Amino acid sequence: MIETCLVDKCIRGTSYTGITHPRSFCRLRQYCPIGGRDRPPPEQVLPSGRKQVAKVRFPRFVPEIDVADQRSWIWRDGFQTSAVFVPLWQLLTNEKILAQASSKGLHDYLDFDGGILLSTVMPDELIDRLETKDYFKLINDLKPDATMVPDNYTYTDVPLYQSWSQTIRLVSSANDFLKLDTPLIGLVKGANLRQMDWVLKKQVEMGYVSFAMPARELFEEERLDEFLPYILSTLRKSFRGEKDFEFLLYGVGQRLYSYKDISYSNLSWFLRAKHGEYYWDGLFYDLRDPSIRFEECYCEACRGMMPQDIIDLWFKDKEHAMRILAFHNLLDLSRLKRRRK
Amino acid sequence: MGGGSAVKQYQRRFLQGEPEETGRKEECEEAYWTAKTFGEYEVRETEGGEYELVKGGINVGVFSEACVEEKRILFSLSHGMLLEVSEEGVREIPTPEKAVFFGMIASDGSNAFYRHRTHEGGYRSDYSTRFFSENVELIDLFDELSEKIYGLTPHQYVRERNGLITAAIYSKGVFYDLSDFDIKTGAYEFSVPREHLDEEGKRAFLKGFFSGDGSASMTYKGELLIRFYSKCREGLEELRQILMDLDFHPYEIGEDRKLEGVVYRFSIPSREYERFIDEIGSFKPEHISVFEEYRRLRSEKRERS
Repeated sequence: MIETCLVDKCIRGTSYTGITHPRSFCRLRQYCPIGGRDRPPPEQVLPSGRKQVAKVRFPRFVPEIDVADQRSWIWRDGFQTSAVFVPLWQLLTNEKILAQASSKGLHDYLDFDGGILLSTVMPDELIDRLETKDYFKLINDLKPDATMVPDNYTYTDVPLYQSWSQTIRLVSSANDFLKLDTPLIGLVKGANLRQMDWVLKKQVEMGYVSFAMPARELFEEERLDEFLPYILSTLRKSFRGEKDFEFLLYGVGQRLYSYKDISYSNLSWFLRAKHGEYYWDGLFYDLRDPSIRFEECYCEACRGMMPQDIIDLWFKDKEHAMRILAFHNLLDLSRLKRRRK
Repeated sequence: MGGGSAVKQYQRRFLQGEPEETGRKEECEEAYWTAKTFGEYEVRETEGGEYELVKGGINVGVFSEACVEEKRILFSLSHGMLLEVSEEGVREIPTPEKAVFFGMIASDGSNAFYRHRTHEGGYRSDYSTRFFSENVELIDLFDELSEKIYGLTPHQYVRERNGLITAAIYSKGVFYDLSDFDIKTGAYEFSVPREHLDEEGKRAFLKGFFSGDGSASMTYKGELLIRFYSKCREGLEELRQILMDLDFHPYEIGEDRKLEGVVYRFSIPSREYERFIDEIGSFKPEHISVFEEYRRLRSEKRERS
C-alpha cells in the first residue's frame, strides 16, 4: 500500500494535529520544501564488521515482564519460565528501579535464574536521547543474557529521508554492538520492504542469527501480512537451513498460526489478565464470552478450571484469580498446536 | 518503537493526529515567544495562537487551541480529552462531558467484546459499549455525549417486557478508549479514574454516576435521603474518596443483603445536601423533581421560622 507523505499532504492542504498542524511547530519541518531548514546531514553507511554471533535460542514464547509490577514476575509464584524480556524503557523512566537494577544486575534485582533478554524497543523520544555509549554502560551495569540492538522509528507516512536515516542508524548501531560480549538480537524494521530487506541483509552479513521484529503497530494496522512473508523468505534464503537462524515476533498480542516456526514475545499475557481477558488458542476473549466461558482447561495453571470458575474466584480473591489467569495466558501463548480446529 | 503510520501512532499515544483542512501551504510562520512556564515545562505561542509544549528543550506536543488559566493550561486533544499542564506536571484529563460519560458507563453501562467463530474457521469480534436505562432523558443524554465525544450515534433497543432501553455503540475505538481508563473492569465492577480527574471532572463523574446508580428520595417525614448504590465495594470506596476530595463528608459504606446478592451503599450527611445539589446534582428527572421538592420544603420552613 502506498501512502501519501504527510509533508506532501500538508502542502496540498491537509495537515494532522500534533504532527504537521499547527504549521508553526510542524515536526516534519526539516523535510519540508517550503520553509524547511536544519535538515540533518545524510547518515553515512560505514563498512560493517563480522563476528560469529551466538544464537539466543528463543523459547516458543518469551513473556515480557513489567519491571514496575511484581505481579508479572511469575517465577515468584512458583510458575516456571525459561526466559523473559525486560523492557529497557521501563527502567529508563523509573530512576529508582534503574538505580537498584544497575547496582545489582538484573538477575539479582529480579531474583530470576532464567535467561534475561533486554528489549530496546522504546518510545521515539527515548530513542533520540540515547547514544551507543549509553547503551554500552546500561548493558554493562544490567548484565542481561542477551540484548537487542538499539531500536529506531520508521513510519510509513513520513518523508523517506527520515526512515532511511533511522534505518542506516540501526545498521550502524548493530555494527557497534558487535564489540559487546553479550549475545545479540538483530532487529527487523523499516518503513517499506526495501528498508527491511536492506537492514536484514546487512545484519546477516555481520553474523547475526537471532532476529526480532517489533510489529505491534503493523499488526494492529492489519499490515503485517504485507511484510512478514517476505522477511521470512529472505531469512530462509540467507541461511542454509531453518535451524541456522531464529525469528521472534515482538509485541504482537496474538498467535498467528499461518506462520510456522516463529517465536513470540509480548506483555499481553499479563495486561489482558489484568483486564480479565483469557487466551484460548492464541486469541484473547472476555472471560464472560459464551464461546469459551464453559470450556475446561487442563493447563498447569487452570488444572480443569473453566473461565466461569475464574470469574467466581475473581469475586472472592481477585489477586489469586488474576495470577492464575496470567499464567494460563502465558501457557496458552506457548502452545505449539491449536486445541481445536 | 515507532512503526506503521505516524498518524495512527499519534492517535494512539497522544490523542492527536486528526486531519485539519488548512489550505494550500505557501509559507510557514516561525516567530514565537514563551507564553508560560511551569517547572520544567515551557509553553510557546505564536501570533496566530498556536502552541508548542516543550520540556527541557525537547518538544512534547504542538496544539492549535489552548485555554490559559492562572495555574494551568489546557490543550484540546481528540475524543473529549484535554492535556493539562501545571506545576504538578502533565496529565490527560477528560472534558466535563466525557467525565459524565465515564460516570454513566460506570453506573449503568457496559464495555465488552465478544468473539464469534465463523464457518471458515476464523473469528469475528464484536465490540460494544452500552448504557441501559428506563429513562428516555438519560438515553438521550448518552446519545448526545456519544455524538459530541466520538461523533457516533448509538443504536437503541427497547425491551418490551420491562421498557428497558439500551443505547449501544459498536466501536473498537470506543471500547479501547474506555478500557484505557479502566472504567468498567467487569460485570457490576467499575473503578474511578481519579488521577485523570480535575475538580470539575470529579463533579461531572459523580453527576453521571449518580444519575444511574444514585438515589434521591423523600422519607415519609419529608426528609431527603441521598445515597450511592453499587455491587462493587472498591468502586464505591473510590467514589467516597472523590467526594472527600471535593470536601464532602460521606458516611462509611454499609450493605444491604438482597436476593440477588449484597448491594453496598453510602449516603451524604444532610448538612451537605444543598451543596451536593448545587455542585453535583443529577440528570435524572426523578432526582431533579425530588431536589426541587426538597428546596421548596426548605424555603417554606425558612419562611415559617
